[in-house]
Amino acid sequence: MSISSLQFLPASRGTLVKLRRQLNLVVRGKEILEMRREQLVKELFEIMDKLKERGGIEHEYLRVLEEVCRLRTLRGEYEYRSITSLIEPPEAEVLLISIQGVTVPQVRITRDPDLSKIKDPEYRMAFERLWKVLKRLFELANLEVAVEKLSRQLNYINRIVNSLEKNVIPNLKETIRYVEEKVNEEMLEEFVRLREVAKEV
Amino acid sequence: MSLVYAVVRCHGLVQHLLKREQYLSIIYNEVSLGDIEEYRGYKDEYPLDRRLEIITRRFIERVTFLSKIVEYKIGDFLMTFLDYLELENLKVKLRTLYGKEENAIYYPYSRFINVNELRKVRTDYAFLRLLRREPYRMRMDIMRRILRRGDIALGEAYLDACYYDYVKRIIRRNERTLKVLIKFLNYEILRKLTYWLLVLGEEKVYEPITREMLQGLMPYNEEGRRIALERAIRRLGINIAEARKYIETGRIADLMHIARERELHILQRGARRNSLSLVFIYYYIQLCREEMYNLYRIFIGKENNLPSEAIIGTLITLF
Repeated sequence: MSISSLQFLPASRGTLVKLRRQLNLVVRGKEILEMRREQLVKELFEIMDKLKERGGIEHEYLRVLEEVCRLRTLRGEYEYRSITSLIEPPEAEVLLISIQGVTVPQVRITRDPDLSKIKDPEYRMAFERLWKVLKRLFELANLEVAVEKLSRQLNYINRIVNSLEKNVIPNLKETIRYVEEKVNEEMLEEFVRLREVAKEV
Repeated sequence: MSLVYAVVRCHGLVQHLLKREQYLSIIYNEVSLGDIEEYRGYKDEYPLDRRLEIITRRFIERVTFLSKIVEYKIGDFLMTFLDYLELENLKVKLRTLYGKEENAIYYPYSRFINVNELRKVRTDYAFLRLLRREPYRMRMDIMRRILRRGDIALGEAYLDACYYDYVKRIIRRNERTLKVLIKFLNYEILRKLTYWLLVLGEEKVYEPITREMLQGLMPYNEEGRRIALERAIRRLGINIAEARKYIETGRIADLMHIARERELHILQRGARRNSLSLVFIYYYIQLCREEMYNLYRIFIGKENNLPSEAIIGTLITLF
Protein backbone atom coordinates (compact mmCIF):
# COMPACT_ATOMS: atom_id res chain seq x y z
CA MET A 1 0.00 0.00 0.00
CA SER A 2 1.52 3.29 -1.01
CA ILE A 3 1.76 6.18 1.45
CA SER A 4 -0.39 8.51 -0.69
CA SER A 5 -3.25 6.02 -0.67
CA LEU A 6 -3.53 6.25 3.12
CA GLN A 7 -5.82 9.25 2.94
CA PHE A 8 -8.42 7.23 1.05
CA LEU A 9 -8.62 4.47 3.64
CA PRO A 10 -11.91 3.86 5.41
CA ALA A 11 -11.64 4.76 9.08
CA SER A 12 -12.37 1.40 10.64
CA ARG A 13 -10.89 -0.88 13.29
CA GLY A 14 -9.77 -3.22 10.52
CA THR A 15 -7.83 -0.40 8.89
CA LEU A 16 -6.30 0.55 12.21
CA VAL A 17 -5.07 -3.00 12.82
CA LYS A 18 -3.73 -3.14 9.29
CA LEU A 19 -1.97 0.20 9.70
CA ARG A 20 -0.44 -0.74 13.05
CA ARG A 21 0.85 -3.96 11.54
CA GLN A 22 2.31 -1.94 8.68
CA LEU A 23 3.96 0.50 11.07
CA ASN A 24 5.51 -2.37 13.03
CA LEU A 25 6.85 -3.84 9.82
CA VAL A 26 8.31 -0.53 8.70
CA VAL A 27 9.93 0.13 12.09
CA ARG A 28 11.42 -3.37 12.14
CA GLY A 29 12.61 -2.90 8.57
CA LYS A 30 14.23 0.38 9.51
CA GLU A 31 15.98 -1.22 12.47
CA ILE A 32 17.29 -4.02 10.28
CA LEU A 33 18.51 -1.52 7.71
CA GLU A 34 20.22 0.48 10.44
CA MET A 35 21.95 -2.67 11.65
CA ARG A 36 23.04 -3.42 8.11
CA ARG A 37 24.26 0.13 7.76
CA GLU A 38 26.39 -0.29 10.86
CA GLN A 39 27.84 -3.53 9.51
CA LEU A 40 28.68 -1.87 6.20
CA VAL A 41 30.28 1.09 7.95
CA LYS A 42 32.38 -1.30 10.06
CA GLU A 43 33.44 -3.21 6.92
CA LEU A 44 34.23 0.06 5.17
CA PHE A 45 36.41 1.26 8.02
CA GLU A 46 38.31 -2.03 8.00
CA ILE A 47 38.96 -1.69 4.27
CA MET A 48 39.87 1.97 4.64
CA ASP A 49 42.51 0.98 7.18
CA LYS A 50 44.11 -1.25 4.57
CA LEU A 51 43.90 1.56 2.01
CA LYS A 52 46.14 3.69 4.19
CA GLU A 53 49.06 1.66 2.78
CA ARG A 54 48.36 3.17 -0.62
CA GLY A 55 50.87 6.03 -0.26
CA GLY A 56 53.68 3.62 0.59
CA ILE A 57 52.81 1.23 -2.23
CA GLU A 58 52.59 4.01 -4.79
CA HIS A 59 55.89 5.40 -3.62
CA GLU A 60 57.46 1.95 -3.97
CA TYR A 61 55.87 1.57 -7.42
CA LEU A 62 57.37 4.86 -8.61
CA ARG A 63 60.77 3.89 -7.23
CA VAL A 64 60.76 0.51 -8.98
CA LEU A 65 59.45 2.08 -12.17
CA GLU A 66 62.30 4.57 -12.12
CA GLU A 67 64.74 1.68 -11.65
CA VAL A 68 63.29 -0.10 -14.68
CA CYS A 69 63.40 3.12 -16.72
CA ARG A 70 67.02 3.65 -15.72
CA LEU A 71 67.82 0.10 -16.78
CA ARG A 72 66.02 0.71 -20.07
CA THR A 73 68.07 3.87 -20.56
CA LEU A 74 71.37 2.15 -19.78
CA ARG A 75 70.73 -0.95 -21.88
CA GLY A 76 69.12 0.82 -24.82
CA GLU A 77 65.75 0.52 -26.49
CA TYR A 78 66.80 -2.17 -28.99
CA GLU A 79 67.80 -4.62 -26.27
CA TYR A 80 65.09 -3.65 -23.79
CA ARG A 81 62.19 -4.17 -26.17
CA SER A 82 63.34 -7.55 -27.39
CA ILE A 83 64.14 -8.68 -23.84
CA THR A 84 60.67 -7.70 -22.63
CA SER A 85 59.15 -9.62 -25.54
CA LEU A 86 60.44 -12.77 -23.81
CA ILE A 87 58.11 -12.27 -20.87
CA GLU A 88 54.99 -14.38 -20.86
CA PRO A 89 52.38 -11.90 -19.66
CA PRO A 90 50.40 -12.56 -16.48
CA GLU A 91 46.83 -13.76 -16.61
CA ALA A 92 43.98 -12.37 -14.57
CA GLU A 93 40.24 -12.79 -14.36
CA VAL A 94 37.43 -10.69 -12.94
CA LEU A 95 35.28 -12.45 -10.35
CA LEU A 96 32.14 -11.22 -8.65
CA ILE A 97 32.37 -11.75 -4.92
CA SER A 98 29.99 -10.81 -2.13
CA ILE A 99 31.09 -8.51 0.68
CA GLN A 100 28.30 -8.12 3.26
CA GLY A 101 25.86 -9.13 0.58
CA VAL A 102 27.12 -6.51 -1.89
CA THR A 103 28.37 -7.83 -5.21
CA VAL A 104 31.88 -6.51 -5.85
CA PRO A 105 33.99 -7.25 -8.96
CA GLN A 106 37.52 -8.30 -8.02
CA VAL A 107 40.58 -8.97 -10.18
CA ARG A 108 42.22 -12.30 -9.40
CA ILE A 109 45.67 -13.08 -10.81
CA THR A 110 45.55 -16.61 -12.10
CA ARG A 111 49.12 -16.74 -13.42
CA ASP A 112 52.21 -14.67 -12.63
CA PRO A 113 54.31 -13.44 -15.58
CA ASP A 114 56.84 -16.03 -16.71
CA LEU A 115 60.33 -14.53 -16.63
CA SER A 116 62.15 -17.84 -17.03
CA LYS A 117 63.41 -16.99 -20.52
CA ILE A 118 65.25 -13.93 -19.19
CA LYS A 119 68.63 -15.01 -17.89
CA ASP A 120 70.11 -11.58 -17.21
CA PRO A 121 69.82 -11.27 -13.41
CA GLU A 122 69.47 -7.50 -13.54
CA TYR A 123 66.45 -7.58 -15.84
CA ARG A 124 64.93 -10.44 -13.88
CA MET A 125 65.32 -8.71 -10.55
CA ALA A 126 63.91 -5.46 -11.88
CA PHE A 127 60.88 -7.14 -13.45
CA GLU A 128 60.27 -9.32 -10.40
CA ARG A 129 60.31 -6.26 -8.18
CA LEU A 130 57.97 -4.44 -10.57
CA TRP A 131 55.54 -7.35 -10.63
CA LYS A 132 55.57 -7.62 -6.84
CA VAL A 133 54.55 -3.98 -6.51
CA LEU A 134 52.02 -4.27 -9.34
CA LYS A 135 50.39 -7.18 -7.52
CA ARG A 136 50.02 -5.05 -4.44
CA LEU A 137 48.53 -2.31 -6.61
CA PHE A 138 45.99 -4.81 -7.96
CA GLU A 139 45.00 -5.70 -4.40
CA LEU A 140 44.67 -2.01 -3.66
CA ALA A 141 42.49 -1.52 -6.74
CA ASN A 142 40.29 -4.41 -5.57
CA LEU A 143 39.87 -2.74 -2.19
CA GLU A 144 39.06 0.57 -3.83
CA VAL A 145 36.37 -1.03 -5.98
CA ALA A 146 34.97 -2.69 -2.85
CA VAL A 147 34.91 0.68 -1.06
CA GLU A 148 33.13 2.25 -4.02
CA LYS A 149 30.49 -0.49 -4.20
CA LEU A 150 29.98 -0.60 -0.42
CA SER A 151 29.70 3.19 -0.28
CA ARG A 152 27.10 3.14 -3.01
CA GLN A 153 25.15 0.51 -1.07
CA LEU A 154 25.54 2.53 2.13
CA ASN A 155 24.26 5.60 0.36
CA TYR A 156 21.25 3.65 -0.90
CA ILE A 157 20.48 2.27 2.59
CA ASN A 158 20.85 5.74 4.08
CA ARG A 159 18.34 7.12 1.62
CA ILE A 160 15.84 4.38 2.48
CA VAL A 161 16.35 4.74 6.23
CA ASN A 162 15.97 8.51 5.97
CA SER A 163 12.86 8.13 3.87
CA LEU A 164 11.40 5.66 6.40
CA GLU A 165 12.37 7.84 9.33
CA LYS A 166 11.38 11.19 7.93
CA ASN A 167 8.49 10.31 5.70
CA VAL A 168 6.94 6.84 5.89
CA ILE A 169 6.87 6.37 9.66
CA PRO A 170 5.56 9.90 10.51
CA ASN A 171 2.94 9.54 7.75
CA LEU A 172 1.86 6.16 9.06
CA LYS A 173 1.78 7.45 12.62
CA GLU A 174 -0.25 10.44 11.51
CA THR A 175 -2.68 8.24 9.60
CA ILE A 176 -3.00 5.88 12.57
CA ARG A 177 -3.67 8.84 14.84
CA TYR A 178 -6.25 10.15 12.39
CA VAL A 179 -7.94 6.76 12.01
CA GLU A 180 -7.84 6.25 15.78
CA GLU A 181 -9.51 9.61 16.29
CA LYS A 182 -12.10 8.81 13.65
CA VAL A 183 -12.79 5.37 15.15
CA ASN A 184 -13.02 6.88 18.64
CA GLU A 185 -15.35 9.60 17.35
CA GLU A 186 -17.49 6.99 15.64
CA MET A 187 -17.51 4.89 18.82
CA LEU A 188 -18.50 7.92 20.89
CA GLU A 189 -21.14 8.85 18.32
CA GLU A 190 -22.49 5.30 18.45
CA PHE A 191 -22.44 5.32 22.24
CA VAL A 192 -24.31 8.62 22.40
CA ARG A 193 -26.78 7.43 19.75
CA LEU A 194 -27.41 4.21 21.70
CA ARG A 195 -27.86 6.18 24.96
CA GLU A 196 -30.39 8.51 23.28
CA VAL A 197 -32.24 5.55 21.81
CA ALA A 198 -32.26 3.86 25.22
CA LYS A 199 -33.70 7.04 26.83
CA GLU A 200 -36.52 7.21 24.28
CA VAL A 201 -37.28 3.55 24.69
CA MET B 1 94.40 7.40 -49.10
CA SER B 2 97.06 7.50 -46.45
CA LEU B 3 96.51 6.67 -42.82
CA VAL B 4 97.93 10.03 -41.74
CA TYR B 5 95.32 11.82 -43.84
CA ALA B 6 92.54 9.84 -42.14
CA VAL B 7 94.01 10.50 -38.70
CA VAL B 8 94.22 14.23 -39.40
CA ARG B 9 90.60 14.14 -40.60
CA CYS B 10 89.67 12.42 -37.33
CA HIS B 11 91.38 15.19 -35.35
CA GLY B 12 89.09 17.61 -37.15
CA LEU B 13 86.01 15.43 -36.86
CA VAL B 14 86.44 15.00 -33.10
CA GLN B 15 85.68 18.71 -32.80
CA HIS B 16 82.21 18.05 -34.26
CA LEU B 17 81.28 15.54 -31.58
CA LEU B 18 78.85 16.64 -28.91
CA LYS B 19 80.32 18.09 -25.73
CA ARG B 20 78.99 17.61 -22.21
CA GLU B 21 77.40 21.09 -22.22
CA GLN B 22 75.52 20.24 -25.40
CA TYR B 23 74.16 17.05 -23.86
CA LEU B 24 73.04 19.02 -20.81
CA SER B 25 71.35 21.64 -23.03
CA ILE B 26 69.43 18.85 -24.78
CA ILE B 27 68.44 17.27 -21.47
CA TYR B 28 67.20 20.59 -20.09
CA ASN B 29 65.37 21.35 -23.38
CA GLU B 30 67.46 24.43 -24.04
CA VAL B 31 68.31 23.20 -27.53
CA SER B 32 66.92 20.52 -29.79
CA LEU B 33 69.25 17.94 -31.30
CA GLY B 34 67.97 19.13 -34.68
CA ASP B 35 69.54 22.55 -34.02
CA ILE B 36 72.99 20.95 -34.09
CA GLU B 37 74.54 20.88 -37.56
CA GLU B 38 75.46 17.17 -37.39
CA TYR B 39 71.84 16.13 -36.80
CA ARG B 40 69.95 18.46 -39.15
CA GLY B 41 67.32 15.87 -40.08
CA TYR B 42 66.27 15.32 -36.49
CA LYS B 43 62.95 16.61 -35.23
CA ASP B 44 61.63 16.41 -31.67
CA GLU B 45 58.13 15.57 -32.95
CA TYR B 46 59.27 12.27 -34.44
CA PRO B 47 58.40 9.09 -32.52
CA LEU B 48 61.20 7.59 -30.44
CA ASP B 49 61.97 4.79 -32.95
CA ARG B 50 62.49 7.29 -35.75
CA ARG B 51 64.66 9.53 -33.57
CA LEU B 52 66.85 6.59 -32.55
CA GLU B 53 67.11 5.60 -36.20
CA ILE B 54 68.36 9.08 -37.17
CA ILE B 55 71.01 8.95 -34.44
CA THR B 56 72.12 5.46 -35.53
CA ARG B 57 72.29 6.52 -39.17
CA ARG B 58 74.60 9.40 -38.23
CA PHE B 59 76.96 6.91 -36.57
CA ILE B 60 76.79 4.63 -39.60
CA GLU B 61 77.59 7.56 -41.93
CA ARG B 62 80.60 8.55 -39.84
CA VAL B 63 82.11 5.06 -39.80
CA THR B 64 81.33 4.40 -43.45
CA PHE B 65 82.97 7.69 -44.42
CA LEU B 66 86.14 6.85 -42.50
CA SER B 67 86.31 3.31 -43.80
CA LYS B 68 86.28 4.73 -47.35
CA ILE B 69 89.17 7.13 -46.83
CA VAL B 70 91.55 4.57 -45.30
CA GLU B 71 93.16 1.65 -47.05
CA TYR B 72 91.06 -1.50 -47.50
CA LYS B 73 92.51 -3.60 -44.67
CA ILE B 74 91.93 -0.82 -42.12
CA GLY B 75 88.53 0.00 -43.61
CA ASP B 76 87.52 -3.63 -43.21
CA PHE B 77 88.40 -3.45 -39.54
CA LEU B 78 86.51 -0.18 -39.07
CA MET B 79 83.42 -1.71 -40.60
CA THR B 80 83.38 -4.26 -37.79
CA PHE B 81 82.02 -1.48 -35.57
CA LEU B 82 78.97 -1.39 -37.79
CA ASP B 83 78.84 -5.16 -38.07
CA TYR B 84 78.24 -5.19 -34.34
CA LEU B 85 74.92 -3.45 -35.04
CA GLU B 86 74.07 -6.28 -37.40
CA LEU B 87 75.00 -8.76 -34.71
CA GLU B 88 72.75 -6.91 -32.26
CA ASN B 89 69.97 -7.31 -34.84
CA LEU B 90 70.60 -11.07 -34.81
CA LYS B 91 70.28 -11.03 -31.02
CA VAL B 92 67.01 -9.14 -31.26
CA LYS B 93 65.73 -11.72 -33.73
CA LEU B 94 66.89 -14.60 -31.53
CA ARG B 95 64.90 -13.13 -28.63
CA THR B 96 61.81 -12.42 -30.66
CA LEU B 97 61.82 -15.97 -32.03
CA TYR B 98 61.02 -17.03 -28.47
CA GLY B 99 59.04 -13.94 -27.59
CA LYS B 100 56.94 -11.54 -29.62
CA GLU B 101 57.84 -9.61 -32.73
CA GLU B 102 55.42 -6.65 -32.38
CA ASN B 103 57.51 -4.24 -30.34
CA ALA B 104 60.96 -5.23 -31.57
CA ILE B 105 63.07 -2.64 -33.34
CA TYR B 106 66.18 -3.25 -35.42
CA TYR B 107 69.24 -1.14 -36.14
CA PRO B 108 68.92 0.33 -39.63
CA TYR B 109 72.04 -1.41 -40.88
CA SER B 110 72.67 -4.39 -43.13
CA ARG B 111 75.90 -5.60 -44.62
CA PHE B 112 75.70 -9.35 -44.81
CA ILE B 113 72.14 -9.97 -43.66
CA ASN B 114 69.34 -7.79 -44.95
CA VAL B 115 67.52 -6.31 -42.00
CA ASN B 116 64.15 -6.49 -43.77
CA GLU B 117 64.66 -10.18 -44.49
CA LEU B 118 65.69 -10.70 -40.89
CA ARG B 119 62.58 -8.91 -39.67
CA LYS B 120 60.40 -11.31 -41.68
CA VAL B 121 62.00 -14.44 -40.21
CA ARG B 122 59.51 -16.39 -38.10
CA THR B 123 61.07 -19.83 -37.68
CA ASP B 124 64.33 -21.30 -36.39
CA TYR B 125 64.93 -22.85 -39.79
CA ALA B 126 64.61 -19.52 -41.64
CA PHE B 127 66.89 -17.91 -39.06
CA LEU B 128 69.56 -20.57 -39.54
CA ARG B 129 69.33 -20.16 -43.30
CA LEU B 130 70.02 -16.44 -42.96
CA LEU B 131 72.95 -17.06 -40.63
CA ARG B 132 74.71 -19.07 -43.37
CA ARG B 133 75.29 -15.80 -45.24
CA GLU B 134 77.27 -14.02 -42.56
CA PRO B 135 81.05 -14.00 -42.22
CA TYR B 136 81.19 -14.83 -38.51
CA ARG B 137 81.57 -18.55 -39.30
CA MET B 138 78.93 -19.62 -36.87
CA ARG B 139 78.68 -23.36 -36.43
CA MET B 140 75.24 -24.37 -37.54
CA ASP B 141 75.19 -27.46 -35.34
CA ILE B 142 75.82 -25.29 -32.26
CA MET B 143 73.23 -22.74 -33.28
CA ARG B 144 70.71 -25.50 -34.02
CA ARG B 145 71.33 -27.03 -30.59
CA ILE B 146 70.89 -23.64 -28.90
CA LEU B 147 67.66 -22.98 -30.79
CA ARG B 148 66.35 -26.45 -30.00
CA ARG B 149 66.98 -25.91 -26.28
CA GLY B 150 65.67 -22.35 -26.41
CA ASP B 151 68.71 -21.20 -24.43
CA ILE B 152 68.56 -17.59 -25.56
CA ALA B 153 71.24 -16.25 -23.22
CA LEU B 154 73.74 -18.85 -24.40
CA GLY B 155 72.74 -18.05 -27.99
CA GLU B 156 73.50 -14.39 -27.43
CA ALA B 157 76.83 -15.20 -25.79
CA TYR B 158 77.67 -17.41 -28.77
CA LEU B 159 76.80 -14.58 -31.19
CA ASP B 160 79.11 -12.24 -29.24
CA ALA B 161 81.87 -14.87 -29.26
CA CYS B 162 81.50 -15.33 -33.03
CA TYR B 163 81.65 -11.59 -33.55
CA TYR B 164 84.88 -11.17 -31.56
CA ASP B 165 86.33 -14.19 -33.34
CA TYR B 166 85.54 -12.44 -36.61
CA VAL B 167 87.18 -9.19 -35.42
CA LYS B 168 90.25 -11.12 -34.23
CA ARG B 169 90.47 -12.88 -37.59
CA ILE B 170 90.54 -9.50 -39.35
CA ILE B 171 93.30 -8.31 -36.99
CA ARG B 172 95.29 -11.52 -37.52
CA ARG B 173 95.11 -11.02 -41.28
CA ASN B 174 96.67 -7.54 -40.91
CA GLU B 175 98.48 -7.89 -37.64
CA ARG B 176 101.32 -5.58 -38.57
CA THR B 177 98.98 -2.66 -39.14
CA LEU B 178 96.34 -3.40 -36.55
CA LYS B 179 98.39 -4.71 -33.63
CA VAL B 180 98.37 -1.27 -31.95
CA LEU B 181 94.66 -1.78 -31.33
CA ILE B 182 94.88 -5.19 -29.66
CA LYS B 183 95.26 -3.75 -26.16
CA PHE B 184 92.08 -1.69 -26.55
CA LEU B 185 90.14 -4.43 -28.24
CA ASN B 186 91.10 -6.80 -25.42
CA TYR B 187 89.62 -4.43 -22.90
CA GLU B 188 86.33 -4.46 -24.81
CA ILE B 189 86.39 -8.26 -25.05
CA LEU B 190 87.13 -8.55 -21.32
CA ARG B 191 84.17 -6.30 -20.60
CA LYS B 192 81.94 -8.59 -22.64
CA LEU B 193 83.42 -11.68 -20.99
CA THR B 194 82.73 -10.18 -17.55
CA TYR B 195 79.13 -9.54 -18.56
CA TRP B 196 78.62 -13.14 -19.68
CA LEU B 197 80.40 -14.50 -16.62
CA LEU B 198 77.89 -12.56 -14.54
CA VAL B 199 74.86 -13.61 -16.58
CA LEU B 200 75.66 -17.25 -17.32
CA GLY B 201 77.90 -17.93 -14.33
CA GLU B 202 81.51 -19.07 -14.36
CA GLU B 203 80.65 -22.79 -14.33
CA LYS B 204 78.51 -22.53 -17.44
CA VAL B 205 80.96 -20.37 -19.41
CA TYR B 206 83.81 -22.81 -18.68
CA GLU B 207 81.81 -26.01 -19.10
CA PRO B 208 83.74 -28.14 -21.67
CA ILE B 209 81.20 -27.71 -24.48
CA THR B 210 80.34 -24.08 -23.80
CA ARG B 211 83.99 -23.21 -23.30
CA GLU B 212 84.78 -24.27 -26.83
CA MET B 213 81.79 -22.33 -28.16
CA LEU B 214 82.70 -19.14 -26.33
CA GLN B 215 86.40 -19.02 -27.20
CA GLY B 216 85.80 -15.73 -28.98
CA LEU B 217 85.09 -14.09 -25.65
CA MET B 218 88.70 -14.60 -24.58
CA PRO B 219 91.09 -11.72 -25.25
CA TYR B 220 93.32 -11.78 -28.33
CA ASN B 221 96.02 -14.45 -28.10
CA GLU B 222 94.60 -15.70 -24.79
CA GLU B 223 92.20 -18.24 -26.27
CA GLY B 224 92.07 -21.45 -24.32
CA ARG B 225 92.76 -19.73 -21.01
CA ARG B 226 90.31 -19.63 -18.14
CA ILE B 227 89.80 -16.13 -16.80
CA ALA B 228 87.83 -16.12 -13.56
CA LEU B 229 85.29 -13.40 -12.86
CA GLU B 230 87.40 -11.68 -10.21
CA ARG B 231 90.44 -11.76 -12.45
CA ALA B 232 88.45 -10.29 -15.34
CA ILE B 233 87.14 -7.49 -13.12
CA ARG B 234 90.63 -6.77 -11.83
CA ARG B 235 91.96 -6.65 -15.37
CA LEU B 236 89.26 -4.12 -16.20
CA GLY B 237 90.85 -1.93 -13.52
CA ILE B 238 87.80 -2.00 -11.26
CA ASN B 239 88.17 -2.36 -7.53
CA ILE B 240 86.92 -5.80 -6.60
CA ALA B 241 85.15 -4.63 -3.42
CA GLU B 242 83.33 -1.95 -5.40
CA ALA B 243 82.42 -4.47 -8.11
CA ARG B 244 81.10 -6.89 -5.48
CA LYS B 245 78.66 -4.24 -4.27
CA TYR B 246 77.23 -3.94 -7.76
CA ILE B 247 77.13 -7.69 -8.29
CA GLU B 248 75.39 -8.38 -5.00
CA THR B 249 72.66 -5.87 -5.80
CA GLY B 250 72.38 -7.16 -9.36
CA ARG B 251 73.42 -3.85 -10.92
CA ILE B 252 75.29 -5.30 -13.89
CA ALA B 253 74.51 -2.36 -16.17
CA ASP B 254 76.13 0.04 -13.70
CA LEU B 255 79.22 -2.14 -13.46
CA MET B 256 79.45 -2.30 -17.25
CA HIS B 257 78.98 1.47 -17.34
CA ILE B 258 82.00 1.95 -15.07
CA ALA B 259 84.03 -0.47 -17.19
CA ARG B 260 83.07 1.37 -20.37
CA GLU B 261 84.01 4.70 -18.80
CA ARG B 262 87.42 3.29 -17.85
CA GLU B 263 87.83 1.80 -21.31
CA LEU B 264 87.28 5.19 -22.91
CA HIS B 265 89.70 6.90 -20.52
CA ILE B 266 92.40 4.32 -21.29
CA LEU B 267 91.69 4.80 -24.97
CA GLN B 268 91.87 8.59 -24.57
CA ARG B 269 95.30 8.30 -22.96
CA GLY B 270 96.38 5.94 -25.73
CA ALA B 271 95.09 8.30 -28.40
CA ARG B 272 96.98 11.23 -26.85
CA ARG B 273 100.19 9.24 -26.83
CA ASN B 274 99.66 7.98 -30.39
CA SER B 275 97.89 10.96 -31.83
CA LEU B 276 99.07 10.28 -35.36
CA SER B 277 98.39 6.57 -35.48
CA LEU B 278 95.47 4.25 -36.08
CA VAL B 279 94.70 4.43 -32.35
CA PHE B 280 93.31 7.90 -32.88
CA ILE B 281 90.88 6.64 -35.56
CA TYR B 282 89.83 3.83 -33.21
CA TYR B 283 89.38 6.41 -30.45
CA TYR B 284 87.31 8.65 -32.70
CA ILE B 285 85.00 5.79 -33.68
CA GLN B 286 84.58 4.75 -30.06
CA LEU B 287 83.64 8.36 -29.27
CA CYS B 288 81.11 8.34 -32.12
CA ARG B 289 79.68 5.10 -30.75
CA GLU B 290 79.45 6.60 -27.27
CA GLU B 291 77.79 9.72 -28.67
CA MET B 292 75.17 7.48 -30.24
CA TYR B 293 74.61 5.64 -26.94
CA ASN B 294 74.55 8.92 -24.98
CA LEU B 295 71.86 10.31 -27.27
CA TYR B 296 69.91 7.05 -26.95
CA ARG B 297 70.13 7.39 -23.17
CA ILE B 298 68.94 10.99 -23.26
CA PHE B 299 65.94 10.35 -25.49
CA ILE B 300 64.92 7.06 -23.89
CA GLY B 301 65.28 8.66 -20.46
CA LYS B 302 63.21 11.67 -21.49
CA GLU B 303 60.59 9.47 -23.13
CA ASN B 304 60.24 7.56 -19.86
CA ASN B 305 60.15 10.74 -17.74
CA LEU B 306 63.37 9.88 -15.97
CA PRO B 307 64.60 12.83 -13.86
CA SER B 308 67.27 14.93 -15.60
CA GLU B 309 69.84 14.10 -12.90
CA ALA B 310 69.28 10.37 -13.46
CA ILE B 311 69.75 10.80 -17.23
CA ILE B 312 72.94 12.79 -16.68
CA GLY B 313 74.19 9.95 -14.46
CA THR B 314 73.90 7.51 -17.34
CA LEU B 315 76.02 9.57 -19.76
CA ILE B 316 79.66 8.90 -20.53
CA THR B 317 81.48 12.04 -21.60
CA LEU B 318 85.18 12.68 -22.00
CA PHE B 319 85.03 16.38 -22.83
